Amino acid sequence: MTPRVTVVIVEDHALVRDGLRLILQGEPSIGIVGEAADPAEAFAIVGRTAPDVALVDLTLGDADGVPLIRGLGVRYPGTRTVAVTMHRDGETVRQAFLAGAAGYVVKGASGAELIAAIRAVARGERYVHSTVAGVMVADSLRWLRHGQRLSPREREVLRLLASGQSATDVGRTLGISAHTVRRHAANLAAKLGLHGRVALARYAIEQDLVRDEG
Amino acid sequence: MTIPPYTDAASHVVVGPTAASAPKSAAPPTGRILDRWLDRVAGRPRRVQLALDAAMVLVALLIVGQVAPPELLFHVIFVALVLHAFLFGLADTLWRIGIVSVALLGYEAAPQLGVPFQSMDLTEWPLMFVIAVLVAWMADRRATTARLYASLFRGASDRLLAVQEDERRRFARELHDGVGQTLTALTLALDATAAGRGRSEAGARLASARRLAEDALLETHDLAERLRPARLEQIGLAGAVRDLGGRVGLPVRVEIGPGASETGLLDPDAAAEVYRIVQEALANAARHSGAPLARVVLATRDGVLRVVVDDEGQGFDPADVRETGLGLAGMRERAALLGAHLRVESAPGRGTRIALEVPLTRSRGVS
Repeated sequence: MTPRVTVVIVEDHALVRDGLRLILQGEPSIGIVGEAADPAEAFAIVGRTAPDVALVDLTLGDADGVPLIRGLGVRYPGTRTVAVTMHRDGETVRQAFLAGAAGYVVKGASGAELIAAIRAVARGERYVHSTVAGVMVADSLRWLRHGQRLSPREREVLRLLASGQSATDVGRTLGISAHTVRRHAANLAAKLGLHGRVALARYAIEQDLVRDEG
Repeated sequence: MTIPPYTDAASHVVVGPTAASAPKSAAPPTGRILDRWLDRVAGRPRRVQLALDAAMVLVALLIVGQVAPPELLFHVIFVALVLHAFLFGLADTLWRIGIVSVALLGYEAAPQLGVPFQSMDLTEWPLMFVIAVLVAWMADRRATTARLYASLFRGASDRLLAVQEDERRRFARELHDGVGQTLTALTLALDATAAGRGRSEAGARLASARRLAEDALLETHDLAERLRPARLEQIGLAGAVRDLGGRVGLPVRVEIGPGASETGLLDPDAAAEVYRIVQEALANAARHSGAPLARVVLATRDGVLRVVVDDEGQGFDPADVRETGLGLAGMRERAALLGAHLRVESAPGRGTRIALEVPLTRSRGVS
């Protein structure tokens, strides 16, 4: 018998809360220990009940769920969060996972999927719903295909050079000498089969390597 | 002081090579030629002013040299003075008028001081000065009016934009929070009800009802996103455009330049408008271009966000097409409201390229 997983629901719509409760109550291995409708309530209830999993809606009226996920992760690292949301765009998925979410389920997912997500993150795994798996794969592929051959430092150099900084500026930003920056640039060009800094910048922009990793 | 061009208010709205055909009535041809010339002058005020001053100094030297009848030469100076008044307004012209009057008086006094200058009739000069001052004063008033209308236009378009965006935001939100959440609750309830019924007939019906509810939920979400991306402020224009790229029915390559992926580049309403222009451009590409791929590039430079949407499809003749059919008119309106510059380049068989330049919020100040 698997141990019971305790869950807190953070959702501003009463109807949806009722629906989630309906689904989870039919599952004996999951127990709902609290519900919250806004970030303040969420912090209070998670602090009080220390659940295994918090289901967090990403739009809570005027509040955004991403900072809430980050805050919960910092204050209550024992609680794993699952984003439950209508949004399916890659950037929102990325932000949710970067904020520390362990799972991502879209609204409209079936009860079975929701339960699977809760169980998975309670076991310490991650869960990505099939509807957003596509954008996540596309997002990581861009990095894997073009970013992996480069070391983190090389990627940083490439990003800064692409943003139009000179070797001296890049060196100052990273605390290394301009000479080292130029050597990095030469290595990068050699690895990627490109000539010149303009070609490097162009490459970085085309392959979408310019944005900050954070 | 430099007088802004006649078309100051409209210059934000000038969009693409077909823009000239838009206001068909307006000024008669001669007026338009004069306007265009004035615009060109206003573009290089320093050089024009220098040329006028040089001409006046040159004529003054000719007068001192007694090369031609002084009456004629002084009239040339007067013409230059009036031109200067017309182009540069009162403040700049007044002290030049002063210098010319002193020169005139000096010329008249010269014979008494022993300089053998030809004598000259001065009676009409007070009238001439009055004319020069009046012209300068009217030029000032015109400039003030032009600036006033430009700022009225900006204010009105900002308000219009705000009202439109408010409406869309409200609708999108109602769809998301009202219908969307009810449908979410419905799918969950149907799910829970179907759970116990397995493969029975009732179970199958419940499952198909659930699928219908889920479809309706998806459609509601799409509709709301089309009105206004719900998390636009959090994901930024770049994130929204990237997401859009996956939903237009045509593969889209999205290239985001350095700096363009930041959130808060534009104020949210402006970002939503830019989003819609890209949306419209991509929809056109998907519907009409026949190209296998479209491309969107976002880049920032010198306080300007540059957005390019292009494809290598069949293109069209921008002068020929019924603009509304292609949604170009809508894009132009949006660009005009943003104070942005929109250029549409296309020709049959040569693909289409739509370039938008929007001043960034930071450099635009309070809006």
